[in-house]
Amino acid sequence: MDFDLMITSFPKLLSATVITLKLLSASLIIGMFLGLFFAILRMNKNIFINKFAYGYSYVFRGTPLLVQIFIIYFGLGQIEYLRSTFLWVILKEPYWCAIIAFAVQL
Amino acid sequence: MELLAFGKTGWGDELFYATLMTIAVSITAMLIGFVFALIFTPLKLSKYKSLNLIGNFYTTVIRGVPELLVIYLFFFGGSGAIMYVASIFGYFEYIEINAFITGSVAIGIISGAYSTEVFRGAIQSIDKGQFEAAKVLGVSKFIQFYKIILPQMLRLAIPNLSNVWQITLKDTSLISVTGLVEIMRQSYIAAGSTRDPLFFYSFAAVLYLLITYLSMKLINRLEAKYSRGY
Repeated sequence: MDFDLMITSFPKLLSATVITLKLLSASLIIGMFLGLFFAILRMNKNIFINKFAYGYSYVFRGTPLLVQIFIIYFGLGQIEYLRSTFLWVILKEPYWCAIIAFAVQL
Repeated sequence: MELLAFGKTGWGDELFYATLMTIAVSITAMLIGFVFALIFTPLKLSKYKSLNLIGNFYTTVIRGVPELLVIYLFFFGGSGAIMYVASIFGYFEYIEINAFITGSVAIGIISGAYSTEVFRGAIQSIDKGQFEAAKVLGVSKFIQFYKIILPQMLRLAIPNLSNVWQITLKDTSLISVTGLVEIMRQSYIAAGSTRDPLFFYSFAAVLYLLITYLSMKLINRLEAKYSRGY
């Protein structure tokens, strides 16, 4: 056990923990709103709206989070149209991409 | 579409073998998980506090730690640990462990923690009278479990086990960090060399969905089989 290394790297790990907690709380809040929204759609009598909400949860629960993160971070940057819209400001930042990915997964 | 062609021009055959690899790792990990569940479920249900503690420690730690961390620990820590053990016996060469084995074991330990909880819940939901009735029959403990408890337990466990299967399948995407060429790793390579990440990662998502869809069909049949009489 290398205690010196542990002590010197501890502050860095601690500040990384803050980022983890920030990501967690932001995704939780966004995810809960998204979840509520799709839950209401899911209870709709219209079969198309209903199936759409079902498909949303099926796709996001059936694919690995890593794939989703990669699609959002690497994949969406490829679409030229998105680069010109305001969305790009959000998508440029890894932080926001992470939040989006975690939130849709919830 | 030509990106998915088989042969040297496209990525079709590579992705096909990668899909087989993903399925192989998932099944191996699930089976390793069952072995762990077989060890830890009795511990969790034991009368003795100390055994309970061991079982609880396993499920709490593994379920409370990110899967990626467990995989890193196994892949980078594992070869270090083995080399340390080998050095005691006087072997100092570099030892690299197979990515398939470490990956399967790491995912297997994770899936085992979830399976343990599922089996524990299923056994606890069986009516107490069934255990007493089994004892009264005067047959061996093995027959009591195999003929009376197990069939009832499976009916309750299979819907939750299908969730565990889904979690296990999705966790295999994390093994890509160790360089094992499964769906995720192969799409990463393909996306890198063609500069078309959107297409390849979306295709990877479709492949995962396809595996989930087909396995759910199979599991539903199994569920119907074990729910006969209800």
